[in-house]
Amino acid sequence: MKNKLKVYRAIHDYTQQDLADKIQVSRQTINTIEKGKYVPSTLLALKMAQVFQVPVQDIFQIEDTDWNPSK
Amino acid sequence: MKNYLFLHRYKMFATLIFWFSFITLIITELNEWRFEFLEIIVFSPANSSGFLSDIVPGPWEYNNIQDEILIIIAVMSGIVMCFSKEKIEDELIKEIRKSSLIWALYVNYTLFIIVSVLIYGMPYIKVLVLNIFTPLIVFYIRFQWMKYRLKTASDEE
Repeated sequence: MKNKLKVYRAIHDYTQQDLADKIQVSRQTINTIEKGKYVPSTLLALKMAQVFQVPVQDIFQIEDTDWNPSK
Repeated sequence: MKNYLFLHRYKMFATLIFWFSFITLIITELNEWRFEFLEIIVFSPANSSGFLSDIVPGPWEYNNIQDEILIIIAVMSGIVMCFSKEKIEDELIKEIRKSSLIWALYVNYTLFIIVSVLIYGMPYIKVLVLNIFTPLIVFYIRFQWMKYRLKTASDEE
């Protein structure tokens, strides 16, 4: 799964900590999601979308490799 | 969703108590070092042989309860140490918690099999007592390690 979290953070001029505080997670969680190492829950994705006031699909996009169950 | 975890503020205290009681338990078990005043008559329903029954009749026997006390303290504090909330208990921490728990059980039963094959008699029972703590200790170490790795990875940014 691809994400544009870093881009949206830059647009809103938020640090990882700022975003983390807004959606009640740790900075480490934001960092791991940004790097694509962790796929957030629907709830967290929706919270981020609400913070940036965009649809979830604008921040997160599915990739072909996501259909591969071995991954 | 309910997470069945203890409050974060208990964590530090429980960690100190756990390591203290666990290390004392190892010393007790390995060196046969016990306080004499803890030698008391205990209720022992499974003791059918009654090798002390000439002294104490019925399902009772003499036993030093130092190891029993330490086991209870170590198990209880170990559980609180492992399963108290983090400062920010978010979904990534939950994920690490779950994977560490799976790891802990795998390591525990691997050790259990190795110990079962290699150790016999009384030493086996002593090792099994310590084996009770492997899930807690492996979980704790793996969980702390993963948290440390996440922290260093995000501090690099």
